[in-house]
Amino acid sequence: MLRLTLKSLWAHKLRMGLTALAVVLGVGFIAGTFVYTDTIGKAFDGIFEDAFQGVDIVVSADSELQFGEGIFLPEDEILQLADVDGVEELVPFLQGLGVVILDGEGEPTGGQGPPQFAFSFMETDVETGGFNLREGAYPLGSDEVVIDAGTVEDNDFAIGDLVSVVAPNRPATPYTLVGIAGFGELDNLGGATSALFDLRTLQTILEREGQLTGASIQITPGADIDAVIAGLEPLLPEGARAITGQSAAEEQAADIQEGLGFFNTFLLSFGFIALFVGTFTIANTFRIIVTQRTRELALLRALGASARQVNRMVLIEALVIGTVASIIGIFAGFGLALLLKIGLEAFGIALPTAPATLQPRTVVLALVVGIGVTVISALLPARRASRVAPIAALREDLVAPPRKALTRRAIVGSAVTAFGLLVLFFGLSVSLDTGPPEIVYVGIGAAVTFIGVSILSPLIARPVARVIGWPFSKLYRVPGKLAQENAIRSPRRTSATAAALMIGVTLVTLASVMAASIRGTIDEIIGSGIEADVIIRSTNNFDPTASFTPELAARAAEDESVEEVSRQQTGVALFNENETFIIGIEPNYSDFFPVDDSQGTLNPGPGEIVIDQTIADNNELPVGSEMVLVFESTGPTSFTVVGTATGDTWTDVIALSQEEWIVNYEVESDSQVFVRAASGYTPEEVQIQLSVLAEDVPTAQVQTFEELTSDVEQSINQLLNLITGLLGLAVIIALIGVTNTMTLSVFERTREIGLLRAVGLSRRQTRRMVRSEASIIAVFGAVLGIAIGLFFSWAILQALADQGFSAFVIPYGTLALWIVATAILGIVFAILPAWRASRLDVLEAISYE
Amino acid sequence: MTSTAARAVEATKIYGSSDTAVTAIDRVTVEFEQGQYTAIMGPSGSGKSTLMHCMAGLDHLTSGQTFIGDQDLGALTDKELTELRRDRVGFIFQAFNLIPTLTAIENITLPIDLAGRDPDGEWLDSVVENLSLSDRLSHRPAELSGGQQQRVAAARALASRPDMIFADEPSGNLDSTASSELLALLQSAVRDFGQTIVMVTHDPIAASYSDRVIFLEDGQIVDEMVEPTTDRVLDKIKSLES
Repeated sequence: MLRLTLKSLWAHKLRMGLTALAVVLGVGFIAGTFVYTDTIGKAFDGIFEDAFQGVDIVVSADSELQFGEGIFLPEDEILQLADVDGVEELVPFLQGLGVVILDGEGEPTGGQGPPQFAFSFMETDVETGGFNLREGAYPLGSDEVVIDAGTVEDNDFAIGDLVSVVAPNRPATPYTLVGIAGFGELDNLGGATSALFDLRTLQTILEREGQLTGASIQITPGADIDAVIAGLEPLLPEGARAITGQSAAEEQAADIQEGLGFFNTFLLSFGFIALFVGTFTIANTFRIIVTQRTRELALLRALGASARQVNRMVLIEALVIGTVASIIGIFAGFGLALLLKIGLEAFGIALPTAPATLQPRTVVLALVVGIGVTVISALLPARRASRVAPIAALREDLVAPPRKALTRRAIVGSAVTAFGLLVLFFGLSVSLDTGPPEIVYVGIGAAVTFIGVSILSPLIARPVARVIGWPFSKLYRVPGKLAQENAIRSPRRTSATAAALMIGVTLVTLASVMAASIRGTIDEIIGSGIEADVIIRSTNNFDPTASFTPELAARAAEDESVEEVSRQQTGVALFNENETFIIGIEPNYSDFFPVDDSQGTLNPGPGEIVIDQTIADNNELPVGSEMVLVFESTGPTSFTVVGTATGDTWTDVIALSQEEWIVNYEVESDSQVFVRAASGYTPEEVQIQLSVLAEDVPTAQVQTFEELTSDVEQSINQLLNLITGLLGLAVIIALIGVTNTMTLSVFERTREIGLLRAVGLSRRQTRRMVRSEASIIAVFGAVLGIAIGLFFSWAILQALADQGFSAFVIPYGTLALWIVATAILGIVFAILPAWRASRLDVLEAISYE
Repeated sequence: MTSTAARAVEATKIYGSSDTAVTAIDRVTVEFEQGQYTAIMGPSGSGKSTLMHCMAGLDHLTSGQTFIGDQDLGALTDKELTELRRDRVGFIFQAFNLIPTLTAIENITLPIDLAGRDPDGEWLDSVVENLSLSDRLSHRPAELSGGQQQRVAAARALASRPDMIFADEPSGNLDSTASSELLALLQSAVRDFGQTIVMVTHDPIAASYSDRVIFLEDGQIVDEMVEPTTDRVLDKIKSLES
């Protein structure tokens, strides 16, 4: 029986190969994701091991926030720690964010994504932050800087050059580049720029006189590290802790791993989507093969093979294909990991790399998933195969197994769809409140819904395919009409093939509608909601807390083209354990951000706070109640809610007065300045005027709201393109299914095609017929996908309505483009079967028995 | 007044090469007159189907020539051959003659539609009427009896008024009533409309409907008979077998 199985596999190697390709691509993507993230993770592990090499103990603040300045410790208290028993040497260090190095043109270096660091850097026997001097000298005094090798190389800096650096509260200042530093073996920290100064200079730049980030400690030879830590602990300033250099390295590596974990999950979800689509393609291929081999299977049954043996034969075929394809997929994963690296670099994300890492976990997962998917996909077709009656070997009219009643299909399909939607909406409502873990219900619900719809879709395949086929019958006349009829004649096959494509198109539609709706919401808020003409904001689009000197707002307020300005500061704090943005506002803020409705005052005083009505409702914080925020610098602080606001532009706002904000963040720099034009000036004129005033602050940009909107839309579009690109894999696997189906259909219709050729169908007409059918199937999938995608996105946006998503925008152009694209892709993926059909030997075809 | 509708000159077809070569037809020279109903007979493997396939442009000769009218088929590309089959030749096969997804009338007009021409409505009506298919036109092949299916195939062959109709055992799968009905219809197409038909058969009764019978054996024409009857054909076969 096994030999027979293998022989049959070999005999059908082409279609088996196409089936395997779906598994190879899916498994390859998953394996590639793991290989890539493992490789990066290993590289980072190496970096942090290097960074804390020789450091016995690290004293630093215990921070939980991702954004923000970090916690600073008093320098005098830290320096006292040098007297503790067992401390050989103590090296204080300071680090800061938002210190921007300017290139020769005076523009910020380093692009928009990675952060811009500043570190203190001095010659010691103890390593302090992983940087090591590669060339030149250590920075000394208030006019010297050392820069990371990556930034130096990208900007063609040379030792001796004057390089300008901008800090949040300071305009551009020139420094002499005295040295070039590397981070272990790396030229930079994952694309971030790093400016290194001596400690005093950096304290001045950051306005952190008398403050430190922490200290590195080397212990006296022979001293017990735990004993030293115990000795340090009573003397530590509040909010600080002392840990071993090794734990610090592990902690930082773990932070990176967590970040990578998110990235990993993001990519993996596309891999699993692709494999889910793969199950449709595989199941469909097996089903067609079983149908085609009905007589052969029946003969086996007639000769004495049991139903169970036939069942097992099909499953063993699946097992062999799954194993071979998974192994190839793991190798393909290496190639994909390389492509991922190149692709992400093209997006400007440069991450450190190490030799490609293949963990046993990756191999096991790839094999389990790849083989699992293939065998599970073959379960139903195998059961069907085992039910072939022996008599089918002898009677031609029994070849087609009886169809299940349509009513049963309708009932089962509706039930599965309804159940899927139920789980989906449950997941949606739960995960909106509690976050990630429940999001898995959304995925499961969507998957079940897809299965339900694919069960239902044969019911509508006939009418829909007839409509889709109509243009083809008009365009190509007889071949088009034949294609239309062929697509209709086996609705189950057409549907099963289309269902795979449906999944990819649903998700693409979902992404497109969400993106369009977010753009629409932004248009509504920024475009018409905010009563300002021009905005001054940081050039860093990624860090909402990135800020610039308040000098700019002062200058703008003085300008003749400006009627009024309103400054805003942005920082983070913990609210209910969650990292939340807190803004500082001026009394005129509500003139710039009109409300639909409000309670109390929108002008908070000392110890007072104003919040979005939705936040007030969700957290039971009515006017008059107390709200507690935890700041990095000042710790838990209680505020009285004095006002609540309702309106799109106030979504998620938690606002303090400017004075109160500055107290809690210990800095005074603006994240945004809103500007209203004086009468007689257009926004463009104001923008030009203010841009001149802001020339010496390259970290800030002056934009009209039109420009701001298009900037935001551009970043949304980039994300949409990335997601669409990743979903492309699922679409390709589905299209391989189209190739499979058409190959098998051509094979099945050999006689028919021979007859058509005999009575005058030309080769070109034959190709058109096959390609048109593929195109009809593909468009059917796209139409189903768009319909479901629209429904999903409508439902999600309904659920998000109270989070400020007010618009439901259907991107008709994009969706129409997808229909055209799938029509063309269907044709492209049918080129091979169409060519085979046109090359059929007419005589052999018509005498084929 | 007669002229040649199709002819073969020294037509030779060899399958395979060197050691395993099989000569299916061997230097066959034959002419088919316009308006004549010719039957080609011979035992299995005599080359009668091969001769028909080569005459109809479905297969290529190894050497020699075949003509439809004055057209040398050997000089045509696949595209030209396809067009020739579509426009100038009609086919009736033993089975599986019709496209299952098309209705009877769509099957009948298929070659005309493929050419992008409009059917001659009057002629089409008379063909359909003669073949008693008027009330079956919107049916799909699966809804037709075997005899009806073959009559639809015959109607398709006649609809474009081709120079030549090739029929390969057209009545082979039919019961005797349906069979004689179909054969009579083909005969009347020749008598009444001057259609030219070449039919391959091994059934002496079928052959008796024709005007002329050509006997093939081992790839060569061994005899021919004009105005055949069933008995004479039977006798001839017996004499050839002995």
